[in-house]
Amino acid sequence: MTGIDRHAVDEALDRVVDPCSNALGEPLGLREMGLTSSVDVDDASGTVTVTMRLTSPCCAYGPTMALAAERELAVVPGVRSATVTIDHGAVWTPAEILPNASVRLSERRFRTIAVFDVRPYEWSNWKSTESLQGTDPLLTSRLDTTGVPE
Amino acid sequence: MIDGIPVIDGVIHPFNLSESNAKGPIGPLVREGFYQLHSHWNPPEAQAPRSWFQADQSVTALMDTLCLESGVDVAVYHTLRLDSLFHDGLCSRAKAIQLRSEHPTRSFVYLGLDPTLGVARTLDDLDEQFAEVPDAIGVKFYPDQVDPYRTFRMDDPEALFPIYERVRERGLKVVAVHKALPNGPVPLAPYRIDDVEGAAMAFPDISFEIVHAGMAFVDETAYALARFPNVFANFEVTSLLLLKAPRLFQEALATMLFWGGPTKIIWATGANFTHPQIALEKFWNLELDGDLVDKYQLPPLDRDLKARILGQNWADMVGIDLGAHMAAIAGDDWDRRRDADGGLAPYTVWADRMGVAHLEAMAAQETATGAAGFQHGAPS
Repeated sequence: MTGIDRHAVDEALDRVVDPCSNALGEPLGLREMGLTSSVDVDDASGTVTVTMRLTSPCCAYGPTMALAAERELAVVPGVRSATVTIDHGAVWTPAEILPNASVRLSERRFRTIAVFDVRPYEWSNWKSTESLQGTDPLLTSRLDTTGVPE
Repeated sequence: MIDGIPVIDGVIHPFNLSESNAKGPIGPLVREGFYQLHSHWNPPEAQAPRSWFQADQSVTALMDTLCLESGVDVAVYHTLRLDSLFHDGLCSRAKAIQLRSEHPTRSFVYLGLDPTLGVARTLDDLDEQFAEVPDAIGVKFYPDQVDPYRTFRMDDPEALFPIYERVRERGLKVVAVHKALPNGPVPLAPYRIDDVEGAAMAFPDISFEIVHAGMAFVDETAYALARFPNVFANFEVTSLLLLKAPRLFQEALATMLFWGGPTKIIWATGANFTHPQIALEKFWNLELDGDLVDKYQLPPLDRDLKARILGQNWADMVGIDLGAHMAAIAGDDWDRRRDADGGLAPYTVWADRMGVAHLEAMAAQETATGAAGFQHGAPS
């Protein structure tokens, strides 16, 4: 008996795309995004058991992603049953993104920065009034016209 | 105030989460989701019992909670127009009127608009609400409605720019828009923030406030803060990460400070999502982890920086002299009551109004459900 191909399991999980990365224009699969906290494959019984964590505890797409992952795993040769559960207590951070995927995401963001010429805030002397107001002429003009509402 | 620093809660929500207010197939799910957020993200002693939370929460009880049990000095109410999910939109126009009428020095109001109704109806709606609350200071949008599903882009010249022009004519200072957290199983694209940029560019004299900034699209939000002087990040619900996943909060905060600087972040809790004092204390005691300080080369989260986030930034955004405002309310009835009571435990006053002790109500609920449902902080 040949076992379940782990690479095929990974591919199945990555066929399900994380909606946020997709919305950013750089679609990343569940595994690439670091949303699969554990993947257990039992060759003897043909079962795959996956535990997911979500990028945000408020994410409304969790059940949809879990169901999609079960569907994709079910068509992997040798898999008789696939179960994907969500650990709502687990915390995801960007550090969970796989290195190659993280590079793709960063490249996408660098392209954005380059196109729009985004620059970090200059923090030197940030506490001086001049520095604060100098960053925001609108804010400065508003401060000149303030008053306590009646 | 907290340690002498004025605190403005940039969004408060006395929800109408009564069962009869939930509408359609998704409204009841959102109603339950709100309670789950409240009960899973807050420690047991700072939770309201389900029967209080999933009811028509009163303005009076929430103002008691804010002004007597927390350091919040001024609260910003957003009239909500989740009309396709809740019959009264969830936080009604009537509550805006009540708030301004009963607590004029301690509150500000954003009118609630639904641009999916079309320009003509939205403008009429704006004018009707403005007549009811002529000292309103901003407006609030949601990016979509359901049954049938409909949405809009903030940078749509035909559908939205006439609304911004009316906002400007009425002297309203800010347009706030819910982003990053989809309301149920709906398309995600309208919850991105890129459409805010086009609106901010076309209307540089209006401030645009991204509500729930940091819950998703953190980098994109940070770039928008850096590029547009009139784009701001509102931390409603994001602030609850301090209770549930403090490292995530730190990463979002550090990213936005790095790009956007100290003037672009607005403190908010969305109370009653959480008790307003719990997250406030966590933020007040927060220090960035060393690796984040190294990575972003940020100054310490000191008193001055926290003072900007907790109140000064919102005041500057809408053009209010915070010092003068604080001087005007100093020693008022709320101040006297807060001083006299000396720091009440969470929801003590609400419990008094309900005629039952808070801890007794929570204990009865736990006995009935057999679950407390809370995990402190991030797992190691």
